[in-house]
Amino acid sequence: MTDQRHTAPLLLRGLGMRYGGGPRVLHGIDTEVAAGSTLAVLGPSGCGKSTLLRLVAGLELPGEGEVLLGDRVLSDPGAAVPPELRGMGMVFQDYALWPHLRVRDVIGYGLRHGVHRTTAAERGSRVAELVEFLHLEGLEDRRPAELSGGQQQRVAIARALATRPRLLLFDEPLSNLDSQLRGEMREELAVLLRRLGTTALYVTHDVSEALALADRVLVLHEGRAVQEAPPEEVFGRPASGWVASLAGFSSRIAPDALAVEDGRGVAAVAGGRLVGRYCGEDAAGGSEAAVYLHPDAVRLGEGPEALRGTVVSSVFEGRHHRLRVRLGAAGTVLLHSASPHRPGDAVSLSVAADGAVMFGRTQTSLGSTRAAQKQTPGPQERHRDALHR
Amino acid sequence: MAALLHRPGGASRRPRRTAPENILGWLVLAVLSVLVGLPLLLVLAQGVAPGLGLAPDWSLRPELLGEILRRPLWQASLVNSLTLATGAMVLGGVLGTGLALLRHTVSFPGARLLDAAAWALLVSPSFVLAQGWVLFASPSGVAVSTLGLDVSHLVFSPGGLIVIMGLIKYPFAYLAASAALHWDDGSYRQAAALSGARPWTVLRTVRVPLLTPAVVSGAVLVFVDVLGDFGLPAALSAAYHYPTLPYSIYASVRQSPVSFALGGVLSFYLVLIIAAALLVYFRALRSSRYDFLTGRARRTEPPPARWPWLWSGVTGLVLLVAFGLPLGTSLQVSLSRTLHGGPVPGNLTLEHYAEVLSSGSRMLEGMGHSLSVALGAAVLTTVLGFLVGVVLTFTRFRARFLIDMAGTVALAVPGIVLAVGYIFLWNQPVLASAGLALYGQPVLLVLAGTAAALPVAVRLQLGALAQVPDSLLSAAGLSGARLATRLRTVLVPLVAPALVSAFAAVLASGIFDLAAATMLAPPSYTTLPVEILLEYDRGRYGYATAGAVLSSLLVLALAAASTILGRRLLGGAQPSGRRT
Repeated sequence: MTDQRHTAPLLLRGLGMRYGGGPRVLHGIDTEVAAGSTLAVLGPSGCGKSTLLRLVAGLELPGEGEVLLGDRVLSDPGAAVPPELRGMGMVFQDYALWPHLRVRDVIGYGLRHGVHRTTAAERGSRVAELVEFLHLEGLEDRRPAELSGGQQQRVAIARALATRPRLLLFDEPLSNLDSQLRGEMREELAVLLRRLGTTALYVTHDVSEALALADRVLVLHEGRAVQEAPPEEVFGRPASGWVASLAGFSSRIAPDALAVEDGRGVAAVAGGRLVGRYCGEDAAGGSEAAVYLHPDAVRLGEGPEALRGTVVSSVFEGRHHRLRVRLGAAGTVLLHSASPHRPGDAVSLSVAADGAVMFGRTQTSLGSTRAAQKQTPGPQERHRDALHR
Repeated sequence: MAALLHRPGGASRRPRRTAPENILGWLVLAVLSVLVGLPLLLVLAQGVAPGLGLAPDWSLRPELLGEILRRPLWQASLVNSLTLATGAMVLGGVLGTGLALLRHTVSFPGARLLDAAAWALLVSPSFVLAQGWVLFASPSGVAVSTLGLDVSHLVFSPGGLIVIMGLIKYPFAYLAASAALHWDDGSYRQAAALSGARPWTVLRTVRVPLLTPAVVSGAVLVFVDVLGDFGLPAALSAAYHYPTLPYSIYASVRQSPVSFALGGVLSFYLVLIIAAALLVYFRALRSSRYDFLTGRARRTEPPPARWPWLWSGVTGLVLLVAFGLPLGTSLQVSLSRTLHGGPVPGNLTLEHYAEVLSSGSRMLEGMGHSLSVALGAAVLTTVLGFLVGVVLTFTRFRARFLIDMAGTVALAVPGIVLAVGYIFLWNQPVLASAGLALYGQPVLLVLAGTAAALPVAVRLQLGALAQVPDSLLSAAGLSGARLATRLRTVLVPLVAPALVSAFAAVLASGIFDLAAATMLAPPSYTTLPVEILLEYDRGRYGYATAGAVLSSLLVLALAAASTILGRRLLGGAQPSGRRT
C-alpha cells in the first residue's frame, strides 16, 4: 500500500485569508511539509486551522499567498485549481459518507466518476485491496447508516486513499468518536500514516492526536502560526505560555522569582522552589515571569523544597480526585490525588522537573526570596475560595 | 495497478480563473433574467413609455401615471383591489392564525384535516373555487334551488367578495403561523412559567411576541395573493361588475380597444403596491429569526382538548364552507341537467361528462394542450429550480442575491403582470427579426408557466438541499468528480423526493394556469382554463364544471402517479437510516 513515488511535498507561502469583508482568519502562513511526512495543525476552535485545510483542498480561495504541491501551483489569490484536479484525498470531520451509496461504491466513487476513472475490474481490485487494508471485510454492501462510528471512519479513510492521492488531508477525523474509540483509532491512524508514507496534513484541536500522529506540529493561534516544531519540542519547549497551556500545562502560576541555574529553570513559589525547563521570553509577548505546570507532574508530599498551599476544591473523577490548590498569591494549581481532601486543608506539593515550563524575566539567583514565607490567604482570596466549595 | 497511478488533470501549471460554480451561477442568472427580469422591467417601462419597442412612435410619457386620478375605471380598479386585498388580509389572517393556534394548542379528532385542507386550497385554481361560489350564490344558483336561500345580495357585494377571498386564501396565514408554532420550543414557555408568569402573562410576553412576525408575514402573503388574483374577477365578470387591477389589465390588453398604456400603468401600480407589501413581509421575516429552528426546538404534539368534539365541529364547519361549498356546488352542477333544477333524481345526468369526453370536444383538446404545456413547464421548472437551489445553497457565486431576488419577485408578481410582460417582451420586432418571434406560439406558455411556478419549485427544493452537508459534495470533488458529476451522483439522488414533489406540484398547478393561458395562448390553441371559462361565460355551467371536475381528477391522478413512480424509481437509492 505504501506508495512513496506518488507523494509530493506541500508548500504554503504567505497564505492569508479573510471571509468577505470580515476580519482575517489566517495571516501569512509559511510552511513546508516534506514528502511522505505528516504535519499536524493544532489549535483551538476558531484558530483558522479548518480554513487552512480548505485552502489546501481548493474548497476556498486564498486572499494572499500560494499553495504548491510538488512543483505545481494549486492556489494563488483569486484563482485555484478545482478540488477534483488536485489529486488529494480528504477525511472529513463528519466523514461525509454519501448516505445513498453502499460501502463499495463509496470507496470506489473516485475510480468510477470523474478524472480518476478506470475500468470496472481495476476499480474492483482496488476496492478489495482497501477493504482488506482497513479491515472492512463483510461490510461492502452496507450503507453508511448501518456502520459503527469506527467503521464509518475507516470507510472515509479508504475512500480518501482510493485515488492514490499525492496528499492526504484530515479534518479532525476523530472528534466525532467517543473517548475510548478515539484512543484506539489514534493508534490505528498512527500506524497507518507510517505505513502509507503519503504526505499528510492533519488538523486537530486535540494535543495528544497531534503529538501521536505528526512528524511536525504547526500551532495556530488566532490565524497566526505561533510555533512549528517536532512534537517533542512543542511539548518540551513550547514557544509561549499559550502554547504550553494548549500542550496540557494547564496551571499558570506567578513565581516570586525566576532564575536559570545550571541550564535549568528554578522558581521560588509559595515558600518552596521548583525546577523545570526555562523556555526564554514568552514569544507571545509579556516579560512577566510565569510557570506552567502539567497536572500529571504535580504530587502531594512533604519535602524540604515543597510548595505549601490550601485545597480550594476536590472533585471525585473515578480513578482519582481532581484537586485545585491555591498557592497563596501565585495562583492555583490542578493535580490528581489518590485520596480525597476537604476545602481548606493545608497541603504540600512537589513538581517533577519535566512537568514545569517557565517563561519571562529571570534573576541571576533566587537569593533571599528562597526563604519560606507564611502563606495565609487575604480576605479577598478567602471569599473566592468559599465560592469554590 | 500501474493504471491506477495516473496523475490527475493534465499538466496545467497555473490555477484556473473561472470556477464551474461561477459559470453555473451566471447561466442561471441569465435564464432568470429572460424568464422574469426582462418581462417585468418592460412592464414597468411601458407604464411611463407606452409602446416602447413595440410601436415606431413611442415616447416617454410619465404623466400617464397621474391619469389614475382622473380616469374612473382606473380609479375603481385600484380602490376595488385595495379594498378586496385589505379585507381578505384581515379576514384570512384572523381565520388562518386562529385555526393554526387551535391546531397547535390542543389535539382533537380531525385536526390534521386542517393541514390537508390548507394545502388543497392552496393548489386549487382560484377561478374554479370562485365559479363554485358564483354558482352557489347566484339568484338561480344552488343555494336557492337546494336550500331555498337567496344569498346573492350578500355574496355579490364587496363584503361578500372579501369573505370569499378570505376563505380561499386563508391557507397562507394558516401555514405561516403553523410553521412558527410547529417548532414552538416548549422550554421558552416553561422557563417563563418557572419564573413565575401566569398562563396569560406567558401568552402575552412570550408566545405572542414570538408568533407576531409569522402572523404578519402570513397576512401580507394573503394581501399580495389577493391583490394579484385573476381567478375571482374572471369568474365573476359575467355575474357581478367589480373591476380589479388584474382584470382591468387583462381587459386593456386582450379586449378591444387594446391599450398597452393602460395595461402598463395599472401593472406599474400593482407591482408598486406589492413591492411595498413585500418590504413589510421581509421586515417581519427578519425579526422572526429568533432561532426557532435551534437544535433544541422540536415538533410538539399538543395535549388533548377538553372538548374535542367542539373543535372537530369547528374544523368540519370551516372545511365545509371553504372547500365543500364551492367544490360541492361545482360537482352538483356538473351532474345536473339545469342549474335551477335542484338535487332531484329527474335533474341528475351524466350528459355533461359524456359531452366533455366525446371525441372532438374542445374541452378534451384543451386538456391535452394544457397537459403538454404543464408537462414542459414542470420539467423545465424542476431542473431550473434545482440549479437555482444549488447556486443558492452550495456556491459563493457573487451575484447570488440577484438570483434570490428573482425568485422572490417571481413569487410576488401576479401571473397576469408576468403575462403582460411576456407580451411586451416577445412582441418586440427586434426579436422577430432575430427569428425569435415566440409570441403566438405555445412554447411561450411553457416559458410563462416556468417563470410562474419557479418560486414554488425552488422553495420545495431549498429545504431538502439545506439538509445535505457541504462536505458530501466536497468529498466527491476531492475524489475527482466534476461539478456536473457531483450534482448527478450525489445531490440528485439525495434530494430526489423533493424533485419529484416539485415536479408534481408544478404539473398540477400548471394545467390550470389561467392568467398565462388567457393572455398568451394563440387564438387557435385551445387550453383547459380558457375553455372552462369560455363555456361558463356562455352559461353552459354543467359542461364547464364537468370539465373542471374531470381535469381535477386527472391532476390528482397525475400527481399521485408521479409521486408513486418517483418513489419506486428512487426506492433503492434512498438512505434507509440516519444521515452520517
